[in-house]
Amino acid sequence: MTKYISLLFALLITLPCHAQKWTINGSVKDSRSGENLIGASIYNTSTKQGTTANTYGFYSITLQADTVDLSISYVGYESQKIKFFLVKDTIINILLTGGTELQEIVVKASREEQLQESTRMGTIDVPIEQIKGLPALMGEVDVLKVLQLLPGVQSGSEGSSGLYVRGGGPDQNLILLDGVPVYNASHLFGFFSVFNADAINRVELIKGGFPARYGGRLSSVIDISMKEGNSKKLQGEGSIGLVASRLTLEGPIVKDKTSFIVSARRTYIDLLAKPLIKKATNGEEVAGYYFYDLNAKVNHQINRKNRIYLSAYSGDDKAYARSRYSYTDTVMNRKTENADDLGIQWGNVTTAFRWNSILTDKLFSNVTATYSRYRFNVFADTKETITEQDSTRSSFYHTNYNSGIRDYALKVDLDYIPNPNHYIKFGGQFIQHLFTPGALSYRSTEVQDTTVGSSRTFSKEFFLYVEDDFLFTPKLKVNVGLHGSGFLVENKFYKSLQPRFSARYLITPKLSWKASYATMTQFIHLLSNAGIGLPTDLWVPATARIGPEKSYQISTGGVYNLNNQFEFSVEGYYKKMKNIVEYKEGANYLNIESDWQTKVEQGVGESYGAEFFVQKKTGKISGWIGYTLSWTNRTFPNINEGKTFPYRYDRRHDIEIAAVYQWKRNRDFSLTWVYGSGSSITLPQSTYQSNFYGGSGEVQYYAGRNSYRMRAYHRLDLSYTTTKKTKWGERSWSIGVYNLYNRRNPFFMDLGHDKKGQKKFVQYSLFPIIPSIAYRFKF
Amino acid sequence: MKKYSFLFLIAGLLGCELSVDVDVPFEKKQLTLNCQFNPDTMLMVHLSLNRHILSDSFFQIIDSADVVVLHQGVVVNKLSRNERFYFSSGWKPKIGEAYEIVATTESFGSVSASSFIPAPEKITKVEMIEGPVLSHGEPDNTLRLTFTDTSTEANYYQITVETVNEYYSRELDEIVISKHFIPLDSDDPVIQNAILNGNEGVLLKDILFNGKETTVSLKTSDAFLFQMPADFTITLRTVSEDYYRYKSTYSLQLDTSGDPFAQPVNVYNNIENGFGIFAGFSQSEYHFGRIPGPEITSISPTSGRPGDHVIITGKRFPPMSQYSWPISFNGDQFSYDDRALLVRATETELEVIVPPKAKTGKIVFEYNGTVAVSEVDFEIIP
Repeated sequence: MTKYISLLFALLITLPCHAQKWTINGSVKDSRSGENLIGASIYNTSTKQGTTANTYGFYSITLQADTVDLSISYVGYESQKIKFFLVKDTIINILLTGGTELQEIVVKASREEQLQESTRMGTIDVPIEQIKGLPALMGEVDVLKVLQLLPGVQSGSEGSSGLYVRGGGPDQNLILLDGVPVYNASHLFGFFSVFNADAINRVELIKGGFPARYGGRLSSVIDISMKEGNSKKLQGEGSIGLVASRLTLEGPIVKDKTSFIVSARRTYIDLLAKPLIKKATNGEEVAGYYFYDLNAKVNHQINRKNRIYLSAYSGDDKAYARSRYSYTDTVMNRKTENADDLGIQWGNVTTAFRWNSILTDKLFSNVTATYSRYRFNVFADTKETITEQDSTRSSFYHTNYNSGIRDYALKVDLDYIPNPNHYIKFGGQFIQHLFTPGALSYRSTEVQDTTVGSSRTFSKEFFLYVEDDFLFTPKLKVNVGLHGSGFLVENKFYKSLQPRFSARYLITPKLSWKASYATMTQFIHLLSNAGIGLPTDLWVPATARIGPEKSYQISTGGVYNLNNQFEFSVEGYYKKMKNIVEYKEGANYLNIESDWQTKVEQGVGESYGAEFFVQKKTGKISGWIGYTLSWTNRTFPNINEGKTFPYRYDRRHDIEIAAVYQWKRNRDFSLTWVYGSGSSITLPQSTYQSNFYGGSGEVQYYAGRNSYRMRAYHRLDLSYTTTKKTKWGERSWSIGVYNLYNRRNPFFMDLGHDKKGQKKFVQYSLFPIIPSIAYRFKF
Repeated sequence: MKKYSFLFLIAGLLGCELSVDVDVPFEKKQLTLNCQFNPDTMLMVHLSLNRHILSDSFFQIIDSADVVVLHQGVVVNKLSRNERFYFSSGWKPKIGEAYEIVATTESFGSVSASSFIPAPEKITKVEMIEGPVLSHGEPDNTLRLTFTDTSTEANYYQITVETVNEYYSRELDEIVISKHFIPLDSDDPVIQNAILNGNEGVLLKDILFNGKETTVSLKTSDAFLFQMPADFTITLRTVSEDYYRYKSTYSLQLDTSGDPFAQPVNVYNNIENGFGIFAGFSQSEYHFGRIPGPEITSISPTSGRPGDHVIITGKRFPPMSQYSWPISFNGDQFSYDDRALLVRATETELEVIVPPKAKTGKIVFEYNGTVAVSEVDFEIIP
């Protein structure tokens, strides 16, 4: 560790100190809504030095006393130029105006520090407008599914919103909503993700070269920022779709000081079906399913230097069934009444309180207190009442199954920008976790309250980090950092030091070469039976027996910027994962009566490959093309006889095309096409007679795990949107088609018979061609 | 929790099927040797061929092969094909010994395997703790068995419980005995890695009681076991590791078959160059004797019409109410038409009304897996 610290000190000490210097700081915001423009560029053309606005729109640049010629720009916004003579520390708050009236639906992009100039690797951010413009399953915009369209990210099984980043599983993604981890990001068994696009400002995906400020998961960070709420005027938007309807309201409480946003989404099939079910069963049965999301955020500018935010998210899925029956036995003169209630419910709640403070003109602080919990609950209630001539007996049976995770955390982040050549970030976090890995309680007429299953576990996690984004020479920029973390569970303490490094070398102003290295440690495991994002997926802590997971990743690649329009990038990576968790062969997770630790195996994983990416963020046609060539495998001592086997979602080739075409002013077309080599599957090779059940049974013989490939996956989705101005605002209709050419993509395979009665492998697929329509409005 | 799998079903209904051709390599057929041996019965080997996964034909049984058993490298027995598709001889293996088996065929080469017979252990105590009947109708009963794991090596056990029930067959006019295995369950921590599988009872390792006496708690929801006077046998098998691994992996394979999300399980195989299992075990049995059931000594009158009252005299009649246990007139106990209506019951006398559709024949009283039959027919006067 000491060698990293001394390296950092060396970097800090050698900061150049010349003549008189002054600092300019302030914020960059959208002139109409007051939203922060995260990543906007502030560039001094006379000295060719620049900086970018951070997640809170704050920037700071220290320059020599001289004429400064600042150019402030952000993709999709009109640039501003400010020229003056710098004689003292200066505050400049900048408001940029997005596009022109004519280009209202021009796709906005969010990063102006040009990709080739940044030290960041494996990082892609997708403008939220682009996410909303792309076709979606049943018209329901889904942030995570758009991320699946990026190179290096595989989707799991059909329709699922799980992300498999560079050979890692969905458990290895740190999904942050306003800095708070969301533990189960799926609705409806993974078909939809929990993020309501209307409430989101920005989505960033990091696949490798992780900056030191992130940690805790092996494979990716998905950093989602919620909108702040328009601080200038009240406005709203919403949509009515096949799956769900949404409504968002935002506006100032005190103009330019306090603003809010509230966004809600709910499915409504259950509401429509309820009367039908009631009618069909004479009112005896009711059943339904729905999910909802609610996002809310308030922010308040206390003074020029201090700002506070309170953001919250709550979302649940609920499936319920209720029946009431009664019958009378006239012979026995006995009346029996039966009441059954059954329900499954799962959901997340996250809350963050954040305080931004400009401590000095070069030091920006952010203190966050967060709460996050995920809960899965199943309950069943049965009550029977028997009324006879002169007596009434009743009995009941109640079961309740609960599992989940709850976090309290406190985080401090500091940005220190001593001069344009350094951008130092440091801070730390403390988290207290509470794991409830599955407890079943039951109670009945005869049995008192009884609880079985694993007990609750408290654990403490913390980390400290420091990183410096350092411009060595105009050509060479490095980001060195160190992330140190610790985890305390049941008197066992794990610690980990994770060095992080990334660098870029500008070959020409438009072409750069980059390299990075990152170590990551994950102290919590996800037990997932099916790997498709089920609500039963269970988070458990590292324990004395099942230690933390680790990954090591190196990557290198080039970036080329063509005419400030196209960004070409190529990245190769190699990643090793250790101590990753997999279920033992045939272990049944739902049997909660035995300890999960006896059901899992730990082993290693390996992934390597190359990713090609071309992105165009603005213009009449925008979008991207990605291609990934990759290999992923796993080795577990007790699985597959210890032999290395391909990972389930080891897809050799993966191609994605996503494009939005602005045909006329108010008419847009968009399409996505994906292709992925078949994922791997274990199939039996032969059968032989078994020794039991009189020798009549058969045993299936598997030659090796995941040694067969399913058919390739490909799919074309289209959508068309037409927008119209109205008296009250704007409305648009979107029609879309999912799986346009009705490709029967593999979901799973099983033994079955073909039409001639011949024994065959049968492939089951999930989604045929699905049209959709949605109506959106803004006011 | 499995009941929630209906949610997958709903998802599945949305989809569609497509039969696809998968190129599954299958170079040549291989021998399958199955033999599970113990010191009490003669050793029998079954030989067959495996088949391609997509083949629907019967397993081809091997008729001619050289099958020999070796002990410490010396041939101790040569088996020959009997008429029941097995290779055997009158020879029995011994406790504590390891054996090797070699089967050689002309067309499918030679397979071999070895295993041994661990020493049996005796159940020293059996306790039955009757729990309440839960509101979903199943009794919460516990069976506690005590035995000693005498060897300090890793040992493997299998416990099965089999009940013996009687019923009256009208066609044969005699009492028939049927046996069935009781499904067992357990939440006993002693049963580490227990595999619970219907007829196969419980499989366990001695991790927590190695070299010690232990008491294992088993649960069963089977009412018969506890409602005496049913007769039952508890079998404790001390099994070889081969046996344990084969049975446990095979029952896991059966358990997970049809679940598209479970990773498939390969069944343990100890046959070199082939498939199957060669595994030794030994066993001891614990019999739970019958408490004699009721008996019918006489009936009066011995003839009558439907609606007449009949007095059945006998021994050990249980306390009864109308619907407890069936009394039928030449009847089929499953048909309510043949059941007599009970008027009065004491320990020695039952007064019943001849049912409307009664036919001439024996009066049959079934109680808890035992059956009492009148010596003479009751004649129905037309």
